[in-house]
Amino acid sequence: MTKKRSKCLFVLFSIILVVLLIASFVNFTYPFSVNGNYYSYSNFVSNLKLGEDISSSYRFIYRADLPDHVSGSNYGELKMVTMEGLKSIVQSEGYKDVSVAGYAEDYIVLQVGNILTKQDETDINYLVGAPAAISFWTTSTRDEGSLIASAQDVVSVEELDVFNGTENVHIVEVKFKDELKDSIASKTKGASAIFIFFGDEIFTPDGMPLGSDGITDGIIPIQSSAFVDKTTANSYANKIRTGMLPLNLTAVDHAIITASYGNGANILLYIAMILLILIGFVYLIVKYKQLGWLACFNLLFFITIGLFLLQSIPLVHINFSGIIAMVICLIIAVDSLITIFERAKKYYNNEAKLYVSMKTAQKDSLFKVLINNLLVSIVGLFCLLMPSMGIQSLGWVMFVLPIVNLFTSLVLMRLFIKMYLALNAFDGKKCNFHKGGKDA
Amino acid sequence: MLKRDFTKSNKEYFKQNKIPLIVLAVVFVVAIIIMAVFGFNGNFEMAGCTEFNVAIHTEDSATVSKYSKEIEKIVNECGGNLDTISIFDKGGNTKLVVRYTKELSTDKQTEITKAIITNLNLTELDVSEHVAVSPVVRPADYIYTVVAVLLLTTIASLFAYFRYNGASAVAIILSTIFANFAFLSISAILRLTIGLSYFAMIVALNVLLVYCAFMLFGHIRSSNWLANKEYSNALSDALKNSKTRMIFVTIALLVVGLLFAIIAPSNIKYVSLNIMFIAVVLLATIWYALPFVWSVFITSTKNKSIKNSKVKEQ
Repeated sequence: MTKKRSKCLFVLFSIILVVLLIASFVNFTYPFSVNGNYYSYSNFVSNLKLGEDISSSYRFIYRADLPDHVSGSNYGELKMVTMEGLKSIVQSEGYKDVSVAGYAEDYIVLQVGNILTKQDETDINYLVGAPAAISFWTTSTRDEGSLIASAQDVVSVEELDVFNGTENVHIVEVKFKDELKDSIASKTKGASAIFIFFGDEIFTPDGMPLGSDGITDGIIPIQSSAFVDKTTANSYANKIRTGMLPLNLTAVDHAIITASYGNGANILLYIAMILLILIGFVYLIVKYKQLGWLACFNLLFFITIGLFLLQSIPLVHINFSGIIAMVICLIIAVDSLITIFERAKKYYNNEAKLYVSMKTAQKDSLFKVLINNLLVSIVGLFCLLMPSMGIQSLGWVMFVLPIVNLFTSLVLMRLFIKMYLALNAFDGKKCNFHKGGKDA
Repeated sequence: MLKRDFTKSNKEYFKQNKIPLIVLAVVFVVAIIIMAVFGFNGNFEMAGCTEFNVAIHTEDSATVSKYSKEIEKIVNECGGNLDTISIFDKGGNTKLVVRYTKELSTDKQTEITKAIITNLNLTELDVSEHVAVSPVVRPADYIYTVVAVLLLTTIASLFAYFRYNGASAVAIILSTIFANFAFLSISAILRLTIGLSYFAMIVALNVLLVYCAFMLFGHIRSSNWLANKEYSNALSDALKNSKTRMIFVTIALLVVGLLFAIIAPSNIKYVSLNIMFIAVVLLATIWYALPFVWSVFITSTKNKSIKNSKVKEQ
């Protein structure tokens, strides 16, 4: 490999690594819209499904009643639709770990996991604490006859970005049943504004001004200064959607299921992991200088690919034992690299050239690294067979991460070493290797 | 690191190291008695606990913290073993969940409730009843942990037998027993509080043990293979060559333990100490127990070859 090609490859892999790091640790909203909708990206770490021992969850128990105008023959079907709807509403708010289950004859239990901050608690409570009993009125005092429509009349809710002549504004468009078009048009014609209520709480205290013809198309575009960004408009639309579920939900109980290890346990454990990784990096850099940097580069790939896989597999739940398994796997990943480097050091000490030492070391340690990682992976696989949640979590991490390590330490590292040798094929001192050293 | 004179027979070797072996045996017997008589000091996850809520009509963090400290003081004065006080906001109010490490008698519960109401100027409605929380750990968890360790040891020893030799397989089995007993007896002797994660740590210890054992056997084989050294020299070479990696593993575990001790919430502080013990037990096993067993068995067996170790030379 030529020096130029090696440098190009290093740049290319650095770019890939930066992308992977962003994907792993950064949340953002995509800077473009699809059909007027902006989507947000949540990183690999926030997508990890944490166990109840290290993250709090919010649980609601609802009584699910049939609306007055619906017959009871298809209650079971409606309950399923309600449960699915509830789940998708909460998930569209960015909460990935959501479970909804039927309980007794007419109860639904919603549990939202990975509640990390107090703001999460407030937001969840606002969203599904009391499903929206939204109603639209032509008077702020809700006089008789001034009701335009209510939640049951809503067909769809969409959040949109509209250009108002000077800037893009966020609106929530509520579409009502076609058969109400005339009624809405007649009620809004001549009215000065629309007042929106959530239950007894007024949402638009000043009302929304109307044209002289009122609303003729059965669609009410809700504008508010509260919609400062796409997220707030989306939350508002979701709140309305909770009122559109086929069954009437009344929250009879809600509770925070505390993380067994206390509030913020997961954050503290993440900090511990990051510090551990940094210590591993410092150790490698001090011990192997330039090869240490190369090892850190390789380990970052290991970490990001590992996180990607752990968050992608639906069954993986990271409990505290999973964190312990991560520590073990990280040690094994570092050790795999040390195995290669130590062998290379030994060959170099015995007067071999750097590139020969590295190549022979890789060849020699191939089987060793392979066996060690496969063994841990097989143990992980056996742990998966145990029905205990703690051991399963340990098993998943020990099953997945050694396989990732095999790829990074044997395939990627091989390529990185090849690239490095194109830049430095002889000078072992740059890797803290010394001819005729004490290991010779 | 173990230094074995292979010119001496096992009998002579045992005689030479009589005192350390007797001390070790005595410690083990004492540990087993402690484990059998007193059992382990399980936390709320293992033994269950009592908890109650206190409602405070403010969200101001300074005030909440003041209340929390007062409650902690009251509970300690009344003799309750406080585990944690968790703070939750609930629509303008704050809920404090007070959890003890163990269940409390009804008299103590009443005493604490009254003291909190009087000292903090709260009403009876603000302090909930004490509720007994069932243990999280099920009997099956013990069985699954044992099964996981047994499976791991079986696979590892079979693999060691086919890849290396019989002495390696026996060394894995006996050193696993040593490491597990050492780890368990440390917790028993020091009366450490343990919880659900303890099971995961036992599995973790065994995984690391097998990993490091194979690292050592690999070094023995390559030393035997590359330099055509006798098994006796190969062992000391292997121990020397695996020094860097073993030190890294030990330091990493000690650092993780230390980090957890600094960072982790009070109720998982026990984990940090146990991780540090894993490091110590692992080092003792890989540098002393495992080479000791290996050397004893390799000395007593007729077939001292390490499989495939001469292939390259031939």
